[in-house]
Amino acid sequence: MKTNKRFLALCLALLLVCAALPAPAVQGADVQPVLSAALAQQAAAVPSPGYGDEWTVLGLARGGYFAVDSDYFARYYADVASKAPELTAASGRDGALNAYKSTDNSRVILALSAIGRDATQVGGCDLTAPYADFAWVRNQGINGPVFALLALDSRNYLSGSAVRRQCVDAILAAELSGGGWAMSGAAADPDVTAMVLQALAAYRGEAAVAAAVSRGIDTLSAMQSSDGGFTSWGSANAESVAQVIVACTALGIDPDTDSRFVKDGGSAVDALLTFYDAGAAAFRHKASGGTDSLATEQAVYALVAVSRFQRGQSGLYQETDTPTVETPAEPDEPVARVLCTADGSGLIPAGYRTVAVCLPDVTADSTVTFSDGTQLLYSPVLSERSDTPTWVWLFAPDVTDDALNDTANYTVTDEKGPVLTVGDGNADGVINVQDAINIRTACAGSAVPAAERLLTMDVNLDGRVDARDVRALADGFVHNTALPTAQEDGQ
Amino acid sequence: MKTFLTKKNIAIVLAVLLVVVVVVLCITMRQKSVADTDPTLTLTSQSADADGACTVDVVLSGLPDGAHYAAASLAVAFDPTQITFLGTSDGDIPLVMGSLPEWESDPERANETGSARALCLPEDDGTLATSTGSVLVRLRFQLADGVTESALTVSDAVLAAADESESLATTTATLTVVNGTVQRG
Repeated sequence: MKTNKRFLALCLALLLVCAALPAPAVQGADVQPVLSAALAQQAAAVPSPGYGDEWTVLGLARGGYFAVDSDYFARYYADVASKAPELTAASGRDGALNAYKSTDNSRVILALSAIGRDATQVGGCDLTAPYADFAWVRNQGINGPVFALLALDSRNYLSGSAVRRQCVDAILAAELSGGGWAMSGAAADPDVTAMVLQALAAYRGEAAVAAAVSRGIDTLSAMQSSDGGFTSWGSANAESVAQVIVACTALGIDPDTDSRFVKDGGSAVDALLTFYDAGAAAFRHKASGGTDSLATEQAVYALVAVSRFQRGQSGLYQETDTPTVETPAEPDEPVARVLCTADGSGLIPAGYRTVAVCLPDVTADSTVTFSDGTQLLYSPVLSERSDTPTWVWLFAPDVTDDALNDTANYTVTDEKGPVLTVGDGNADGVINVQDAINIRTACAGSAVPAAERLLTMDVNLDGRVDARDVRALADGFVHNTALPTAQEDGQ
Repeated sequence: MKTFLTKKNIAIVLAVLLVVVVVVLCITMRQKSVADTDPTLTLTSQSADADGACTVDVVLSGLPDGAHYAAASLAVAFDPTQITFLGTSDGDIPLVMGSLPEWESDPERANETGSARALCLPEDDGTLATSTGSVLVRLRFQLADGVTESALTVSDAVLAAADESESLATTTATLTVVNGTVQRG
């Protein structure tokens, strides 16, 4: 009996202790181990990201795997910046990476926003510019407006533009009668509905949008399978549930605990994790079968969305909190290039440099004057060869490269200035053997001709006026070729 | 009263007038003579042979005595659809050293551009002995089938002296040119 009393007291004490402990909160699954492994696998699978790897970049950036100013993302940016000019030129539409698909731009903008880069200056291209034309945005049905909204809102691009209104209206107009959205047909599709909800999340302040979103949530909830997954095009797949998860987090709904997205067999997050292949640290498209890169990309950024949601961070696409990474200013094209430097062995004093100057937006019918008052000589031959109006002068050694490349040191006037005709030393308008004889005579003398004349006599552009120029001029006459014979530096 | 019109005075006046007329005539003739002997470069064509090949002599005349020309060049424009430039052959003006100078040309380029260019640039101190001969160089052409005649136009010619003021050149109008034609016999 005594023993029974002691046992009863012990039990009561245990009950008291247990009662004193806080009740366990309803917590979601810890996705972090899977997410960490999958992010590492993504980084390893795409060691040098470039144009086309946007979803990988997005996941790694928003998942915090690399710092936004890391070399990894710098490589991605550099690749996009290098390809953007060519792609936009090919599209024939200012700033458009594709003439038809606006989602190409949207995808890249989302990735750029994730790594803190400005999409309005990418290799000299403004990727936001083409959104002003809504006809281009809606080329791909509802996909265009959905991703346009996500992209433009990612860093608040084109604020005040009508395109947002047009996108929202187009999306609302496409809502199915029972709620939800689809690319085609009358049945709601989980992927499309989820993506629409992601885009409309920021516009729920509008009553019409809020109502449509509410119906969309209900539709998605109703579509959820008993195991927590979603089926699209006849099969349960990772991508569908991934999109639903991203939509939920964008709307402030916990996809792992909210009753609307937890069914008997588990939550949406549980369902997504069933597609995970721990050995490969990647995801399968379907429950059976091998891992799939598209499924992995989407599952990873869905887990990133869950992780951010659980940590109280901003949504996957709400990238305005990403610190801006300043893109190093592309160095200005040097306006001056040294063609040759004299060694003093042939009339031109040592250290003097023959310099070609190409100033931006200056036409051939201009006079270019250096800060010391020297009028540079326009070179038709070098201009034609470089396809840019080019002026030449023989600069003294004390004129620095910085001074030569500082456009502020040049004054341009709208009148045709002096012209350099290499070879025509006597300025009679014709290059013939007299000019060769004159070079020979000058070389035999002791006087140093004026800079302008030296430039005409250095026919092979090697910084020396000597017998080789006599020969070069003769060859130029016989073969009827333009002078100087050399392209650069006596080559 | 004395009269001016004495026989003696009339004779003096007539004599003076005669002297003036003679002087004017001499000056005029002298000028005409100088004009006749202006430095001139003439393209003298021989008739093309049966195959259409033709040699054109580049003949100098009226050169000043004692001139020293260190080099020479000429450019002759032609219609490459009608004639083909084959190259140069020696003239009869040697170097002061005695040998005939070397002439350079580029027939292939000439036929691309329609400008036959020939250049003589002796080594240092080489001077053309222009008083020895008259044919500076010879240009060889080939008439195309069905073409009987085609014009040659000197676009630039120069006899270059080390002292440019002594040079003769078309650019300074100190060298007159007479163009020619290539034609079948």
